[in-house]
Amino acid sequence: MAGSTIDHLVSVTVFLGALLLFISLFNQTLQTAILYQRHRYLAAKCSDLLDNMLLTPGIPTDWGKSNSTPTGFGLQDPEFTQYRLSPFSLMRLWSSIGDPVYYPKTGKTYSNITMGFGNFLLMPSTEAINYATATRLLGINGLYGFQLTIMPIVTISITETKPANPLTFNIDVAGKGFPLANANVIYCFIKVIQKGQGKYPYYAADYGSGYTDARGSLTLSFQGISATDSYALIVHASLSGLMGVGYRERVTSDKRYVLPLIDSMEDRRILLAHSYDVHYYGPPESAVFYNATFVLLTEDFTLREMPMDNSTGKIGKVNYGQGQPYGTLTIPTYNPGILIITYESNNEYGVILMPWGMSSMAFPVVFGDNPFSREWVATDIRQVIVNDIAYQATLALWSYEGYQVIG
Amino acid sequence: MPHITIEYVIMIPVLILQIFLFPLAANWLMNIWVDSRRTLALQDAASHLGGTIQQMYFSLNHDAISAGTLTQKSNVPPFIENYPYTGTATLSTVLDPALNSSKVLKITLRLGVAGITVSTSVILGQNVEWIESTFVSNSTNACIKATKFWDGDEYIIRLSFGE
Amino acid sequence: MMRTVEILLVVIIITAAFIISSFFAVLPLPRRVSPLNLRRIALTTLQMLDVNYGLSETVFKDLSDPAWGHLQIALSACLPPNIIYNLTVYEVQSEGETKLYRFIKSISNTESLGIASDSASYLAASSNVTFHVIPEKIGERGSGGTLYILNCSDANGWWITGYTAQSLAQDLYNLLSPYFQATIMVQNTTQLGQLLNGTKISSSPYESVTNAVVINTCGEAVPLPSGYYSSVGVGRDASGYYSLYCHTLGRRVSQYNWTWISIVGYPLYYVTNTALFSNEQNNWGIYGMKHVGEAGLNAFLRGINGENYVRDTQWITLGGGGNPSSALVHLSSTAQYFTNYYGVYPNAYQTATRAVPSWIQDRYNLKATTYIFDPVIAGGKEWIAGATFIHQNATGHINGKFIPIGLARTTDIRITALGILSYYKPRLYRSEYTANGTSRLVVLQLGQIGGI
Repeated sequence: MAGSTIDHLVSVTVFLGALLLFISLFNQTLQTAILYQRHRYLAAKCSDLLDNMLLTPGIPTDWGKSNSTPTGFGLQDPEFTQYRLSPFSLMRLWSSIGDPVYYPKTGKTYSNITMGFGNFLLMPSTEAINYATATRLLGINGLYGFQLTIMPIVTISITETKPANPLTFNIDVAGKGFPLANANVIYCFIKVIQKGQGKYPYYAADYGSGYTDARGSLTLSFQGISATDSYALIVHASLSGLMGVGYRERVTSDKRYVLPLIDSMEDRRILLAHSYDVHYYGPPESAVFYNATFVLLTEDFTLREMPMDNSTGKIGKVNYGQGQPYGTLTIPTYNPGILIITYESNNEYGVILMPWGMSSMAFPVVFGDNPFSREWVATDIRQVIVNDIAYQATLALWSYEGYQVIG
Repeated sequence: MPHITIEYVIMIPVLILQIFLFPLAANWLMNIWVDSRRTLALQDAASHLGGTIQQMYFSLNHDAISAGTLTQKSNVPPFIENYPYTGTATLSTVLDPALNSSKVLKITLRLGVAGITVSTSVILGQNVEWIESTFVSNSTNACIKATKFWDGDEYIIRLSFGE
Repeated sequence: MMRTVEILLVVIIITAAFIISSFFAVLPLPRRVSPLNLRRIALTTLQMLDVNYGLSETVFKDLSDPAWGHLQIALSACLPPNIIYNLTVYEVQSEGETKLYRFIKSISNTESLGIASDSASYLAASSNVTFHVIPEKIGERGSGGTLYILNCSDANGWWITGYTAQSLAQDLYNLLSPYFQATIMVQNTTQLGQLLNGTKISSSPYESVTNAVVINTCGEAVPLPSGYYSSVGVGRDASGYYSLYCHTLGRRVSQYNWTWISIVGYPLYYVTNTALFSNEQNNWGIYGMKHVGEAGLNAFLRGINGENYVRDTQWITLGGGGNPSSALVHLSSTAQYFTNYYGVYPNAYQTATRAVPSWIQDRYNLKATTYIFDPVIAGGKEWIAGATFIHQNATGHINGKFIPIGLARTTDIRITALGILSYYKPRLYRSEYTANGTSRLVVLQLGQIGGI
């Protein structure tokens, strides 16, 4: 009697419990399958969005060379078709990597892409396109988030193996998955010519070429360079249509230097700031004397100097502190090139390189939000060309709707 | 005896409950699956329509294409689980209309009988117009029409659903 | 006790059912759910390898050439490490062969790409291939489409130093005939007379007198048909001046909606007919020509505008009448764009000594469109050295177009061709390959390994 009742109670309880458990298990499988279907749409949307960004030049088509905010987002070079991107449109994207730099003399904050000391690209927030604007122009604000990464395919790493007598480098050229063996390497060695304290140093360029070995390596030596000489080495490597750029500087003054800041894309105006105005390193607060040159990269990768629009601004001096003006110069052309600034401060020397056009120094671009801790992130890849330099564009896309995906 | 009575009092209602509970549970589970499946099929159709419209726009927008009309028969299925569906679309600018910005076309499809609505958006250029029209999936003439014409200043591409 | 046992049996049965259904309800790998677009990666990889035609050159090289090794290195370097590939090159065979594609070579970094691969193909052309460009014909989709080139054997030219009207006509024919449905040489002034009467002069089914383009290759002179068009009241006024013929010509241009082109100098400054004027010369030693002077152009413009004939001897262009003698002109941005599009490259800077003034637009209801040269200011006035002037009647209908190219001699007919093509803008369609064995198909197949 009592045993039977307990038997009934236990059995009913176990039965109901088991029923609920299996209902939830089956439901779990179904929900995962449904979720996977939704993720498939996210992947399709990612592919479409990447093509939308890379295959249209935007509105207006030359927004990369102007100061105005575009009304349509696109990165294609308006002079080409297919997956060729504009080196100037890429410059106007606010970088997600690198801490923004504040310059008190203009009151502006600058997007900071720094690829090792001496290689700077600083774009003011008033000219850069930020992520929120881009999502609005793409019609996905509030629905999707993305991160667009455009990385050079060929990476060239330059290691100084001997500082002098002779100055020796080891160049390693590699692609995304493999070293670039038998690559044609053309280099330009820029040595800073010291003129003495308070004078404007200039540079002498030396060219050469070689081939990488089976491991993608090449050794270069330069005679007549002492351990206190400042230099910059720019290396181009190419093989079967793949092209990359690498660079390295050695300076004796890495605290007091000239920092180039882009002021206006439309007017091609660059400000030259004293490094202490951005980051104070301590005394002495000596002036920095600079000599700026703009060079174009020719087809055989030699550097061809282009005279500046006006002779003022090419050489100058900047001081730290309130009331001390910054230098200004105007880049003479919209052809991609490199701004080379040799400087002297307190009898120490150095050289700064700034790319005019993202591809001139194969700078990477990371634009957008961080995909970390998102529920599901779809990615897609395209191989793109930016002014003949090979890049790989990756788009990571996620839905803000979490478990629901708007198609 | 009392335990027999308890047995009949407890077990028979539970048995009867089971008769209703099992089918209800199974029905509930399968409804989730069926609704989701219909939603996904509708979403698929919406994405396909959106992709077709975008491709037609970019094809016609090319400089080499002169004024004219293009009609594309839709490849979406006419029925989803034997139910037809209808669609409408709205065009809006991403920024203030005066700024000549890109436009977003939001396509909404409805599976009327099941009360399911899905939507998708595609981004188009600034020189596009949309004519109010309805897409009826089971119509033999269901298609997408695109007309390119010169309005005096630039080429405009006018899109609509055909019936 | 039995109830509990029964329930345990039920639990076992449902568990078994769940396990069995789980074997069949296998969820796909996340990689299949959210795949990379391998087809696009393959296509963009091929495009990138061919950015400087490196791929196109390599696929035509000998199979033992080290360039193939370089291609493989580049391919391995540009793809992520988890992407496996197979690049295959085929020769595109010509018609008549049994197979369209013949296998040449394959480069791969794997034995098999598995089932989830995708591919893209790319057609590479050899550097010694011939291309054909198919231009759209003017008038294909509307009216007109006939080009008349005045190649009159009984007319002489002036200000075409170094050329004859006939040689210029042949050059213009070669340049422009691909763009017109019918290109007809007007061989003599008699045929010109027939044309002025609205009569077709060839057997071509595409010939259409209305909406035609007429190029006067005689420079500053214009051929004059004998007979009706040189008679009093039609070609000659009561005082014997042939400026009336220019007025009649203007009326015909308006009547048939012609586009009349003067290739150099002061338009309609002389009339020419070697038979009619056998004993007369143009004061510069060229016989068969009679001086009309400044009145010719003025009468022509009046004719286009539907006004009555008046002999007006006012010099209106540069180079006379108190106007500056010359101006340096530059191709407009539109014209520069079309130099690249049509492959016609005259010098961007030219000297204009007979550019027409801008005020003729208001005076004769002409509207200058599609400038060949940017207008210049000289002597306080604006001058147009080359543009298409469109005449519109009171209802806004276009009836007549005039392209005066007011440059100094010697004439450059590329300017004429550029002016016509800039106005009509016929499209150039895709080229086609003509030579055998000069196309190779490159197929890049990609797959993924590793990961989930």
